[in-house]
Amino acid sequence: MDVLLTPSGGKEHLLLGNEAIVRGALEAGMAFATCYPGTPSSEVPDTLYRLRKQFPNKVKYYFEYSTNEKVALECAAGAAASGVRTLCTMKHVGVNVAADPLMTLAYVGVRAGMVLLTADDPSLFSSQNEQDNRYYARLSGLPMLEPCGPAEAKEMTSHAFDLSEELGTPVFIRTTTRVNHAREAVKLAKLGKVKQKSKFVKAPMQFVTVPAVSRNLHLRLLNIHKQAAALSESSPWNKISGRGKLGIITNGVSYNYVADAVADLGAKSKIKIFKVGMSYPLPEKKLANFLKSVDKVLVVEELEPIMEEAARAIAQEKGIKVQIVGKMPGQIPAKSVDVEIPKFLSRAFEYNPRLVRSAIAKAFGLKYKGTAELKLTGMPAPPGRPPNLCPGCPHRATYHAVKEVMGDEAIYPTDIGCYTLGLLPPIQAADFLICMGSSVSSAGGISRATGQKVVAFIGDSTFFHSGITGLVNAVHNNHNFTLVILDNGTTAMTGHQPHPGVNTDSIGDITTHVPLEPLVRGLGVKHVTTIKPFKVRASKKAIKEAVAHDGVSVIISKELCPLFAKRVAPTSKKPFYVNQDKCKGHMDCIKKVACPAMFVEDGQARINPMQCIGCALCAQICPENAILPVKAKA
Amino acid sequence: MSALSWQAVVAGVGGQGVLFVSRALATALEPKVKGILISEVHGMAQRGGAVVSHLKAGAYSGPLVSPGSAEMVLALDPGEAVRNLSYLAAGGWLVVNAPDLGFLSAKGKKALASFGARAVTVPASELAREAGAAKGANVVLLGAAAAAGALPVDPAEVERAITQGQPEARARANRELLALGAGAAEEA
Repeated sequence: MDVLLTPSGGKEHLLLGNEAIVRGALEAGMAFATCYPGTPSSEVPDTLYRLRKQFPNKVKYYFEYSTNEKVALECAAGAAASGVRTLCTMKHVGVNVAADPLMTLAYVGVRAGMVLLTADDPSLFSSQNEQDNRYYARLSGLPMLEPCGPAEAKEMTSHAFDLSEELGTPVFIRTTTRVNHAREAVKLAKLGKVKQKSKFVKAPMQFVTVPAVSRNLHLRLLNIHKQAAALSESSPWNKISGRGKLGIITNGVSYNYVADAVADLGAKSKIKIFKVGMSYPLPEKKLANFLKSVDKVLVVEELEPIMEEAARAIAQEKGIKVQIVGKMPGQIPAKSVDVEIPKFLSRAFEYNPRLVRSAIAKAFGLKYKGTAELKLTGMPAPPGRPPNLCPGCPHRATYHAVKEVMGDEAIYPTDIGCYTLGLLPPIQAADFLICMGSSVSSAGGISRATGQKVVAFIGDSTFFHSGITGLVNAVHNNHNFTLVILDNGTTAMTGHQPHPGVNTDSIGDITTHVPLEPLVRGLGVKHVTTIKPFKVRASKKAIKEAVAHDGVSVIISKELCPLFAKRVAPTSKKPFYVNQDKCKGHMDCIKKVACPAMFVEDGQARINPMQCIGCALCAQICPENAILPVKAKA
Repeated sequence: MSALSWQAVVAGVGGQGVLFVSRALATALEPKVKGILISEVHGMAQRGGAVVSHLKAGAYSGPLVSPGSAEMVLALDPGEAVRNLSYLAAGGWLVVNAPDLGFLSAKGKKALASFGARAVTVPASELAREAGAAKGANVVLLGAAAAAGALPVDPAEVERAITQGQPEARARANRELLALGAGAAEEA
């Protein structure tokens, strides 16, 4: 039995933040969960999926990987309006996709607790931007809770369901990567009772948002906001600790850095900490009293100066003479965090313990003796390790074939997934990317505006997520480009979640498979070819034909992700080796595909048999046919 | 419970089992400390990129280690050892999957020595491969760290943590890998 399904409470377990969120939902009796996976949120849905699979008789919730975040939120909204407790999870940029339903779901509200997890990613560990989703609470008017670590994430998630029911409105849980992917001891409470089924009670004056209804619903939302603001004043998540005439206002994981720093600085008797846990609506009266009680306040919050601006507004309105410092007016780091970690509180990148400690010391004129640090001058620089496509990744083969046909002249809009790594040399087949699905639609814009040849790349999961509408647009408006759908049979980047295009029979899921080729034909694309990317010559021929087609053409490059295949359909392909007598050192294999299994020794390419999985791409590229499967070695 | 307070950084490359090591360390330490925090890396970085996990045992709030504060830096790759050396506390342990400290250059070795750091170098990948468990370098290196005294717990606690809940065959294989590391550490 999994600890997350322990019926009784009391025991402590070392849980990942995302596991703690799952447990919190189960303790609240969650009956329904939807998501689109995305780092750093993915382990929440993945854990729900795993538990349902491993313990089908123990779990009482419905769970699905939805097609995208908008679909996930709408599906969740239907369940919550029907009266079952519902969880919906996504990464920060996923909320952009779900923003349309979100804004009006805030008007209609819910009939049972509904929690929306937004997992933000300061420093962009695995994201295309580092937007601060606390703004979404302000934009939608929905309450927001921000845990500082796994233990609190569990408590807050559970509490958020009650809060949501009390207010009749969805509630945000906003985390950051350092909360989702931290592990700490979490004390369990009892599992909650689950109300699995309900009945939809008709109430069109609440749930059908024609203008006359929505005018009233906007007032409903404003009244709920007022009620939530009162609850925020007495919320246990907004707490003040310590004493002194200096104050710090902080939230989320920054609170932990502040607490450790105040201890390190020996300033516990000088500094009071206001830990904001219910961050929207802010407890303005409580904050005003806090501001009145100190001489100087430092606001420590990652990304946008939201609490800082609020504190300044409160002080101004109440005429409180307190000095407020934080990140405004604001310095901008000269370099990316990859090159140099910022030394001041900036609007870019995540914070860290040392940065917060020095910011507190500086703001309050405190001395910190510090710890000695090893001098790294004169030591070799650590190797650059850009993430790379895995050995035997079919994307490498598809990219190779397209580049052989189209060279560097074609424009290559790309999309979000492992294949975005095609950006790096030697592949370099990525020219434009802004969000999920942008490859298809931007391809139309680029080809129309320039007349240049355009070949766009999108993964299978991303195509289902938000490529379909772009493709319909391209067909309808007679755009002229080739779309390559990299169909590796899974959502590889985020941990091999299924999607509508996956035949899940082999993994025992009861879902209906939506095959890609008939779908694409059904959208009106006339030229559709499915290729096997490891058959290099045939792939190149198919690509030539596709790009010669006048109008929209689609290539479906179909080959399982090897990491996923290892689990669901293991093969026994032999690794390859370079025959040293035949190899003349052309280095085509190294220069054109740069597989991580290959390296150079004595002017010849070599293959690490531990890494090679026998995809045979390099063997088909070698002009001397010097790359052979190991079994053929005499 | 004692007031043990101990911080470590575990580093390597995607696929080497960095997270397994930090979770095993946490399980080994759990009976001895008041609180444990681990910070993990997931997602894009796992595709052959640098992976690092911070572990803090004791009365801490935040999950990240500050530079100059780690009692141990355990690196499954010499390059990742270099990348994370600034976390090492004066007098701390550097445990590396490497035959020796040659990867640091002469200047680096000198700096490490004058910082009072203690180093354990074990060719863990080679030893694991010879034992027929190519992916077990992380367990070999952990065995070396435990035997050398780089951890605040006995090697027996590490063995318990690694083998806990495993079927006997797997547990035995892991015990052998730990012993391999221990043997190599003593010789170094």
